[in-house]
Amino acid sequence: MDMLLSSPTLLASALASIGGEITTSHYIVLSALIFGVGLFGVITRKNAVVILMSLELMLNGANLAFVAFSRHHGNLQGQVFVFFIIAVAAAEAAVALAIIIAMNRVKGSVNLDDATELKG
Amino acid sequence: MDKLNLILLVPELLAVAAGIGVMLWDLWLPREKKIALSTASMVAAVVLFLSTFIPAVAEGGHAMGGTFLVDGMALLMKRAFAVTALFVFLISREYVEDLERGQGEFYTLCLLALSGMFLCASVNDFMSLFVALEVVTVSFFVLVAFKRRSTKSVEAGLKLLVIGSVSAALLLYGIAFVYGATGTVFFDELRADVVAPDFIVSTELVIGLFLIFLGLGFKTSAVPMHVWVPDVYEGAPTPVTAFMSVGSKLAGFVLMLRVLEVFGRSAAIAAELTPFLALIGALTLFYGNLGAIPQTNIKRLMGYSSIGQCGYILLGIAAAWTMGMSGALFYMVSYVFTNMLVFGVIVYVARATKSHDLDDYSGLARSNPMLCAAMTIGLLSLAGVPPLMGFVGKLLLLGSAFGSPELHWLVYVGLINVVIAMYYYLCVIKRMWIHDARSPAKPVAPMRVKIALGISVLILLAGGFAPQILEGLTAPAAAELGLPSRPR
Repeated sequence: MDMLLSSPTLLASALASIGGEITTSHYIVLSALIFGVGLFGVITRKNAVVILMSLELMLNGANLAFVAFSRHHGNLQGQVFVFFIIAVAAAEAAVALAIIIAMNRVKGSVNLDDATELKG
Repeated sequence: MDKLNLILLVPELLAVAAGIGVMLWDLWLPREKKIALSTASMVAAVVLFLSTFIPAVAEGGHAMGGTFLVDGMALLMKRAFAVTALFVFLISREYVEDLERGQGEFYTLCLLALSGMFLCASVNDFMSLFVALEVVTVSFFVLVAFKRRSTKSVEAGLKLLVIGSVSAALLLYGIAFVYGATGTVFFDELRADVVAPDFIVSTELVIGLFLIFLGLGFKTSAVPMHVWVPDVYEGAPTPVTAFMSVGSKLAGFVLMLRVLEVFGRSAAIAAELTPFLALIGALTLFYGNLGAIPQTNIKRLMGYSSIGQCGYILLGIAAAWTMGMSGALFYMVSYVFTNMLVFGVIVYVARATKSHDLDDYSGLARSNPMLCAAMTIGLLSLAGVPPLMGFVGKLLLLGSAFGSPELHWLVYVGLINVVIAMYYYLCVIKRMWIHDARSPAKPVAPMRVKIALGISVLILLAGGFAPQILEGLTAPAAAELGLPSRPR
């Protein structure tokens, strides 16, 4: 745990290199921002379709991190991983849209605030 | 090492073939003969169980260029998953028979989820880890929302979907960081790297591992990602709840054990992970056990109980030495029989009363003493009462945490929670044996389920009186994992 506090953060190293060329750190900060925007969307939005879009944003943040690290290390494992993520994300989106359609049929709404049958 | 070695993948390939076979056969069968699919799935589960005993598979080794590993833990967990699936097929026969449509799809999805669980037991790189996990998760998205005309079922599916996808994204981001810190996604390379003397435990690696454990915590219902559990358990069709509470949860745990096995070799990484996992374990224990107390719906109660049980296994995982691994494996195997025993009864009581109120269980002893006795033994084993298997499992897990001095507080947390859990399990037992019956329904279970429940009761007793039999299986599997054989 204390290691987290003692070493310089990614953000700090990225800020230090501003003005120079675009480094891996820049890509990682961008990927963290995209991931964060997606996470924020999932938490704050109520429409199931918008939540699905935000989830894709989170996955794309992870994809960008993989590709950046792949370039950084000079091996292809990260890029291959991205293909797997894209394929799985497509399968997940297909199932997700089917469930959202089923939700729209039984409730007439895709708003998560209307999903209140189960609680306690 | 670089060989394809497909023979090791026979259980996985058979599971996928069985799933697709059931789906195709479903197209040819007329409506009134669909029950044959249930029999076929049961046969498939037995064949899959036996397929792990094929000498070439049981011998173990690497396949697919080192991305697939069959070791003692993988074999043990594959057998546990096959038994779980068999139980699910046994108790879901009547439920599926009543469905208007989609009978074949139900069994197909269960078998495909099972193939994903098999893969989870054997993953040896982060790519297969992610894909195996998603095979299980996506199958369960559909299974949970299976009653697509029921608002509860669809709502449960949506909740599982949102939280499941968020946790998958967290897991991926964690893997990206671990890849960034180490430059490889292959476990064999990582195992060698982390023990190298010049290995530096970087911040990215630790953040990545935390995110990975959070993402896997979704499957195992560990605390920050547990919020879906009670709702989804209540809304899902009961046989699916049974499958999810055992199969999907143990798939998450076997992945946690695998990741810990790879990174826990390095004492420096283990020193970062242990406090984190111990904190999650303690929160999970308190959340599950305190949340279960006010519940009035048996499926929600089992949902909270399942969160609580997850906390005990996290105790052994946090301790991160051989005994903790052995205890976790022991507890996972005993959990299969215990939870399936309880859900076997829940399915048939719900069938008779058409609801899941805890009130349905009042006076169950008068209408069906045998089912009531089976449920009592299952609940007592979950609570950890001495002559039963659940007690030995808890003993091993608490003992393994007691080994390291900085985890003593966690042992006390575990002991306090044993008492809390005892309270709500005993409340259900009291209701069944002492209260008067509230509903006129008389639950009955078919003969095949009675036999399965009887065998589970015998296994729970045998595991309590002669734990050395199962320990003889889990201890060597845990010793193979390469974690230190003494507490840190």
